[in-house]
Amino acid sequence: MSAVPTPPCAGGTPPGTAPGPVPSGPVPWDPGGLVWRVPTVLAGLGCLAAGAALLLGGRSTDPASALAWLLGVLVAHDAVLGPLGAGAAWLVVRLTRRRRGVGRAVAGGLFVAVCLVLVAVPALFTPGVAGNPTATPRNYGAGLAAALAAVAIATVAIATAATAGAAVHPESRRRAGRWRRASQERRADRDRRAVRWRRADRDRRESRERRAGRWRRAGRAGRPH
Amino acid sequence: MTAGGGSGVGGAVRRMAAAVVARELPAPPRALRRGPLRAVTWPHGVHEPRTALLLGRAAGTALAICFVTGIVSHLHQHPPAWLDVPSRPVWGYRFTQGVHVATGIAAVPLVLVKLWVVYPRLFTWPPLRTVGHALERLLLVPLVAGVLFELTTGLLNIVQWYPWGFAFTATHWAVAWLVVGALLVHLAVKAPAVRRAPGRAAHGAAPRSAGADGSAVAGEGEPATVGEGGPAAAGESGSAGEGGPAVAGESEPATAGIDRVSRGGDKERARDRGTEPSGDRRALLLGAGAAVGAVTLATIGQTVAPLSGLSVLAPRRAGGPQGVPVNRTAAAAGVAEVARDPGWRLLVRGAGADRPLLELGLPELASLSQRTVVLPIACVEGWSVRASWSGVRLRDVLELAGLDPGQRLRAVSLETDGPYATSPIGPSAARDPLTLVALGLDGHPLSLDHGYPARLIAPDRPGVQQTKWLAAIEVVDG
Repeated sequence: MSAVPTPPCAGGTPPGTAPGPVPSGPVPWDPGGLVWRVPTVLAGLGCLAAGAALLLGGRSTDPASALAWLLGVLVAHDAVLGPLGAGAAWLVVRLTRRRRGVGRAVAGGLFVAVCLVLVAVPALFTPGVAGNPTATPRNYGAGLAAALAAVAIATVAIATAATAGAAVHPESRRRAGRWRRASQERRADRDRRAVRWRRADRDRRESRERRAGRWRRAGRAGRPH
Repeated sequence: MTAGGGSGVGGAVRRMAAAVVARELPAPPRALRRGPLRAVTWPHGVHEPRTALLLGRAAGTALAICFVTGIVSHLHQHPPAWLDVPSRPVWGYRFTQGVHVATGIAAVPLVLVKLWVVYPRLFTWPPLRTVGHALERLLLVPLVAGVLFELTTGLLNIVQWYPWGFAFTATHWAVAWLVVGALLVHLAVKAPAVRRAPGRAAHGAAPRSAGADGSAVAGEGEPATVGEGGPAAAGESGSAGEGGPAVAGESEPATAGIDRVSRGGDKERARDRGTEPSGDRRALLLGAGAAVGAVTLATIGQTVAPLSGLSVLAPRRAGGPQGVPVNRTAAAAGVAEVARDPGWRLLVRGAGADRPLLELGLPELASLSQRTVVLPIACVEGWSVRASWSGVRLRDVLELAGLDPGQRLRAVSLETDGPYATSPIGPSAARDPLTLVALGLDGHPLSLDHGYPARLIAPDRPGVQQTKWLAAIEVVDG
């Protein structure tokens, strides 16, 4: 919590949590932080200026092309890779809700596979150097396929171990037991909530009916509510 | 910087700066808050500060290694006049450039995971809270764009693919400074948040004045790194129904977490706050580690020969004519004809001299005292190969011509075009007994693509500066 007035939009304590220890009165001086943070900011700004000067002032840097690529990779990540990752994560979580170990293994395997593909793409699609067989000399399609196959095998192995291991390994068994108990608790909690909700719903319905009855009775008596 | 500390002009300036960066910006209408902008879109899992911090450290370390080795490479290729680039250790450039490329490749998964952990912050609401918040987010543009740019251009460069208009080396170098600058400011801005990160707090460090401390730079002592810890924690501790994750998401999760942990000590809550490793986070870190291992194994063979068999994605492998790969062929350099000319002569020129001090044809060079050295050839693309080179010591040639090796010298190629038509030879390299005017490779005369009739080969030197198809060794004027 800050000593500077917190903006209202950022304020508010999460429900169910006590407010953090707000320092009251003058905040203690923190020279340790200042001593290195201010020079770090200044050095950083200096480096930024140097980079911009090199980029914009260089004879061979072609600023327009460089800026297009800078923004291009940013958009490619934030608007393409990010949503794809979010979608994949959502799907994996949804499909493996009952088996988190499997879900984690699959997510990890997918991530490793994506990284391998990203590293392989340049070698796969490079136009190459004419007349130089020593540049990108391998069959990268086959290499990538082999690497992905290895990742798939490892993923299946880990997922299997995550499922089977729970029944074999004592620590895993304990963990599985904890998980089972926790999920039982969650279920019970859900049931209790459902009961409460049904009860509240019934109460609401009843009170509505009672009100309606009162209104009807009042109407019959010729007196509007 | 702090409300109570500092006095006089400095204190006033700090207070003013703090007031400016803490100034609130108008919030956009709530109706715009849809889709990913809603906190409920990012409810659970790994999007929390402690994980962001751990991965930030790993990715930051990788970037720092790339930056330092990049500076080494830059100094090799563009030595300032005052610098005599050392010619030892023999494997120096092989090591630093191998590390540069391997670390850059390893940084791909690290950066992706780090960005994934903080990805929901892209959709933080309101988008710009205060002036400080706006500045901080603006700074992320050069940081993220720069890092992605460096990784992308680097990956394309190692396969010699240049689908752009700029010169790779100059632009890669310029953007590296942008990244480092943005990273330094980012670190300084995030320092209070890092100090308040739940993992630290659990070990007894008080929250201190971090919030106020951050005010001057960060703006408003903003939530640690990822606000998504908020909704997740709120949801799992059974309070989701009371206020909704949206409210919790805008709170200050770090500080709130500290309080809860220190009071409750409940392991589950600690796990929610990120002080206890959660299964999801452990899986994420293991996945990141596995990806680093996978991409490294798949490419490192171009630097570490024994792993060549595993490195199915390495852009290079040992082999090629005379067992050494070629970067630029004689045909590509346009020297296939002139290099085969039987009248070829190696010229040694002094400063400002019209007539060369010395002219040596192949038979004369062959009649000089021959040496054989085993030296690696290490390219900027990260690959390197050890080979056995034979020829005449450069210092013998200089002595014969009566030239002082302490002068600024350069090697000139028959290749007249391109940035590597000449290369500087510092005094260390010129005096080094391992520096050769090489005539042979692996016991045979140089092949045309390896620089026939003669090439320079020196220890601790980028491959592009091991000038092929030598035409002259000359003193640099001025």
